[in-house]
Amino acid sequence: MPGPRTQRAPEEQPVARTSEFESFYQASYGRIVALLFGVLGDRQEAEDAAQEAFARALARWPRLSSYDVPEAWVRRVALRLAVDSGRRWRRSIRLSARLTGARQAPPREPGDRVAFSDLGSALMRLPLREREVLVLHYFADMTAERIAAERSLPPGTVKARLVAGRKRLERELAADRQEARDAR
Amino acid sequence: MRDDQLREGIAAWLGPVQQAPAPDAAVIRRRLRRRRARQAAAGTVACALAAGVAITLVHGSTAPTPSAVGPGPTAQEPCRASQLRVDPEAALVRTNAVSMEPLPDTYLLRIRNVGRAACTLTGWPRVSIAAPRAMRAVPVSYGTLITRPARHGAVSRVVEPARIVLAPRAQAAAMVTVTYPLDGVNCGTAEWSVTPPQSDRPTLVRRVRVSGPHRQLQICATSSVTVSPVYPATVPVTQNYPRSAPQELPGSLSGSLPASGAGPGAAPYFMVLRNRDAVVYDWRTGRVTARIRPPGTAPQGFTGVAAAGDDRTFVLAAGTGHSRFYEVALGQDGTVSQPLAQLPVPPVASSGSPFALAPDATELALALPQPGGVAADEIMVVSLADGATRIWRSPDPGLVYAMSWDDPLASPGETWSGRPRLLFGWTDGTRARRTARQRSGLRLLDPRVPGTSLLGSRLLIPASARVGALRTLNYPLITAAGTFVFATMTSHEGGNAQAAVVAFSAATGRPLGVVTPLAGESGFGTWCGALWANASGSAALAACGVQGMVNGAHFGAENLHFPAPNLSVGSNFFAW
Repeated sequence: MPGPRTQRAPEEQPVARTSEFESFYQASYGRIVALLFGVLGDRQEAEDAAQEAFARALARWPRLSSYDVPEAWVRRVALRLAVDSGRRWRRSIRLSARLTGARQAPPREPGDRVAFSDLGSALMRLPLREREVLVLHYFADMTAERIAAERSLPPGTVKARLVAGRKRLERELAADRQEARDAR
Repeated sequence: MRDDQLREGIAAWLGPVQQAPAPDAAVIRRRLRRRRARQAAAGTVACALAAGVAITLVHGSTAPTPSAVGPGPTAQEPCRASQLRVDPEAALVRTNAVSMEPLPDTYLLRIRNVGRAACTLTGWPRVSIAAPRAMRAVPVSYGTLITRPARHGAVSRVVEPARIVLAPRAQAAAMVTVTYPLDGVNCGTAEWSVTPPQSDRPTLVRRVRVSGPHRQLQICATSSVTVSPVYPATVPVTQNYPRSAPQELPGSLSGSLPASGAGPGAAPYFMVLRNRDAVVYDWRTGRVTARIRPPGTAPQGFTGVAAAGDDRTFVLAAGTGHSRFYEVALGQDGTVSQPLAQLPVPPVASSGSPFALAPDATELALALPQPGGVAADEIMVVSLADGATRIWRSPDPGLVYAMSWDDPLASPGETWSGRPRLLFGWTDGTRARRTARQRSGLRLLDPRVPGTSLLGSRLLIPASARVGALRTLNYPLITAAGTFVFATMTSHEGGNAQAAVVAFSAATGRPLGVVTPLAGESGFGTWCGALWANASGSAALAACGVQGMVNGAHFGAENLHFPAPNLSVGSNFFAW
């Protein structure tokens, strides 16, 4: 009996498929990076997570290309990576603080070449889970039900996070305005 | 703030990021290649641990005396430094693990035989360390503690491979694990390298991480370095090898069929023997991409074909009586890129007997029939690099009727030894019927295990296995990752012969399901069997009356352009 075969590497896929992936990649990359930047607040981390997600997509492109919206798959993977990255970052800060005896974690520097608007700065002070649903809803135009499906969360939880995030964002923006007035 | 204001605000903030041009797609491809390399390295580590290998913290000076000496291949000349190539930089095995304590760093150190002859590397994986003085004071330990399951509990022993035979182009690997103390914030900032035995080229393990005025070469004395071997493919360990390796597959392997919807990524070309020639087809289009004529020394034509795992390399048998074996390589477009080249396989009487090519095309397994008889109760594995052979014999007569290799490098769960295993069909011909029944079936031969008895292999699926009315086993195909075995089973109930392909767990031998429709076998019979499966077994191609794809337990008819014969034929008339 002949030996089993292994799948061909994506690099060897026919030219048509390769160019198909490249078109998809060029069309979706900006949206995914912007979305991740909105969640993470770090341009490099966002690009890193996006590229990792696209690399995984390339590995599965023969199957993904048959999906109606391959970008949804990439977005889901990228968000998971981004959220993990955010958690890792927080833990590493905690570890660093513990080892060096520092009381507070140093503030995270914003990503390169991207100015943080007042809204962006306020958004970054929100808990990660609330920020994530706000960005998905207001930037990616996703309904609560769709967010719930993509993030494997109950729709009620997503709606609750949206409401809580909105309230917290309002408070943060109000505090910023007050601070600016006091400074004057 | 209203919803639309918030929407516009976020869009204005993120707009510049969205508009920025994407980097070239080559970045993604490079990343994918790196990711695969990392996965391979991480898989090695994870599987070494899964296989029960625990690194001992034994100092080199107190390494235990070798406790066992395996038979191993004949010793070769010692490796010369010019013959060995060492990676200039050790690969850091990355992990996503998060811990409040400093995680150990694991590096993969590789050494390759770039010479034309096999050689013996003595002392592997002992290394000499070049580093600042403090680093040299760090204790280095060697050795592995192997724990294998036994009937009366786990049995542990320390092994320390000291001598390995490196075939041409073969490589050996070692894991270098550096453990830092809890308070070692600045530990490991020193640059250091290691030099493997018999080599004069060091491998950089760690670069200096601190630069500028704060540059300090530091290493904490409470760190420890452990060097332990991994067993890559085609590298036999000639000393201190455990007498028997664990035969059970890791428990992480699935015992059920994969979910449906897993698309096939089938190799596009298959080769079929037609008349005297070997014909290459593209299964998606049915187009003939190449026709290979037999060599002048074998005008009778080809008698068998087997395929490697790269979708490009095939081995053809030709000649009556004593077969000769030839390798042929296909190009990307399915045409012949390298013409027939005779292989260093001893001329054995194997015409018509099954043979199988290892996934990496380095070994060929042959069933050897007895002279003048139909019984084939020996399996010979020939190294295609140097023609070295190893033979397993059965003490009683019998018949090896089919063979198929798995590929441990395709499996995230079985890279510890890195050597493929051979699945073969066995019909025992001993006079004692009960004994014959107990021995017959699909057996798994593990070349890692010392010994020469064919019956020392593991009986994975007994010939007495039944799936409903289906019985008898034929045309087995084991998936590369060693997860599933596909085999043809037949039913003769009511005088109406029928056949179907059944999937079994390669870990337990348990039947998992009938994956093709039942095909009538009346008259001359229709060939029925699995043609190809991807590494994990999530997708397969099969022909059984109708041709089609198997996704999980679901069969979808599709024209594979496979010229399934209407007669009972040998198992090597095609290779996919």
